[in-house]
Amino acid sequence: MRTYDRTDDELVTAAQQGDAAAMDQLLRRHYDRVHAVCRRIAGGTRDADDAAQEAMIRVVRNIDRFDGRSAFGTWVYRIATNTALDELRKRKRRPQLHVIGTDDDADGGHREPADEFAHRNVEAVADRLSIDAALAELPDEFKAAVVMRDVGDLDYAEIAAVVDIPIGTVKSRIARGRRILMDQLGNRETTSERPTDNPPTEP
Amino acid sequence: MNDDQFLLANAYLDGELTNDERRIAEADPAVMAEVESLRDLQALVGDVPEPEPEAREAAIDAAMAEFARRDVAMTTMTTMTTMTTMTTTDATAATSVRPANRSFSSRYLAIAAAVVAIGLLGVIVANVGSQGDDDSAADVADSDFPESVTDEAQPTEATADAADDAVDAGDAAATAVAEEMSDEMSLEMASDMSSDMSAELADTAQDTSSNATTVMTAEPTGDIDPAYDTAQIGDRRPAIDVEAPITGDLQLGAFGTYLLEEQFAGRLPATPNTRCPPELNILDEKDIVLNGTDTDVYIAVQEIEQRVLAVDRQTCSPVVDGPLFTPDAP
Repeated sequence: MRTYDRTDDELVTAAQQGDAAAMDQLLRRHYDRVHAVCRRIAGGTRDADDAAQEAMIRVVRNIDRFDGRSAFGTWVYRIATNTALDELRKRKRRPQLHVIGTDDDADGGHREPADEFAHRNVEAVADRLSIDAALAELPDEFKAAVVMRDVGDLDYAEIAAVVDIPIGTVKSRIARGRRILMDQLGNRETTSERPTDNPPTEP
Repeated sequence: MNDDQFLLANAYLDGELTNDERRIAEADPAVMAEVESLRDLQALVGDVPEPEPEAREAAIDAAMAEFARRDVAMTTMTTMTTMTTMTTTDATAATSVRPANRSFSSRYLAIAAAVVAIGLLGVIVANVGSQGDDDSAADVADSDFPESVTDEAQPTEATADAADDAVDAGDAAATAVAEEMSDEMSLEMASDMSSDMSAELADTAQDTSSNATTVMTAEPTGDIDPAYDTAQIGDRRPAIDVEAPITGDLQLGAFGTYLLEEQFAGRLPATPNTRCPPELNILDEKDIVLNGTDTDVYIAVQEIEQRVLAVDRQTCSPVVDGPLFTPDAP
């Protein structure tokens, strides 16, 4: 189909003029990464599904306001990040129900559905649970920066535009966020040369 | 490894170094070892489970349903704009020159006014100004309504459908307004309202097209209630009267936090439909006392930055801000 060959900008223009096929194509093109961003920020699969769907709806509602000053993907991930943070905040405020007598999952109180590939790669699942738990402990501003970089693949300038902070602050937040994650995951050596008491400061 | 080395390793991993900086990094074994550790971490963070196909389809279906509603609204708005232009011209002429058109115009104007009302309730105002006010009614009729407007015996199905679509696109309140206006509004009321609304829309459009640059940067300087005075309560969240104008930054922060709580509890009415970027996360409209003057602003919540912003309604620029407090549990 021709729409597969069109750039984001072309699809946006068409969608803004009411072309449903173009809008559909844009959504499909970006859904997986939007979902990934939401998954890493919001945590659980169900919350990520909800956040990604809400993000898609917000994209549609605001497509006419997209003016092309940034890449469409950047704009979409900004919406996804904010939506995921909304979802995260909602979840933190929901009463949490835990089944007594079972192991608590490592996903902020949200139980993952059975992973159908678990038998193939238990280690990978364990890694995912660990990183989920580590991300759950990360302050939101660090988490957003790290996720936008490592999942959304945005560069520092794009993240700075998304969060509306200086690039130097982005650099610092990513570094501090990664340091915390590494500490939590136990990947770092516990040597005296590690300056955990003096993390890089935000400019 | 010191902080500079760690920052260097991160920036190296992210491809954010200059050539000189990259050379420095590559010459430092400790930095490069850290880069490898960071690369492992990056892979772990980026290794996100694939979304379920059902979730993907559900999300896209929901978004496309929204797109369909938006499309109806856009079509209606375009129709409304053209009809408003016509109506203004028609209404002026009808009272003195063409009384014979009154029967048609009455229904036509009522429908047009209803659509205008719905449009004003929140569809899209920004583009209205670009529609030509100077076009004659005949020109508009020829170009946009070749069937309906030239047939003065009665509005055609297309016109009625446009109104129906507008009603469908609106909320319950808009529907009620539209029905009431369609059923009961007299020619005079419709004419007056259409003219007033046209003028209002034109003003709005003029504001937009002139790219208003008034940006208020001063702190609110109204009389600060002691209950909101930073000097007296520190940075604690003050109790607020949600109906009262905002006079200080803590009060602004408390009000934004209150809006967030209402949103989480599902009690927040529909957020304002504005021309501002969605990432501002505008939740409500509000009066603030700015330099002793009541000023209408939007209230936006920046959760990442933990700030509540009062946003200029014309320019979408933040005017003042306050701290976002930790919302209470519902």
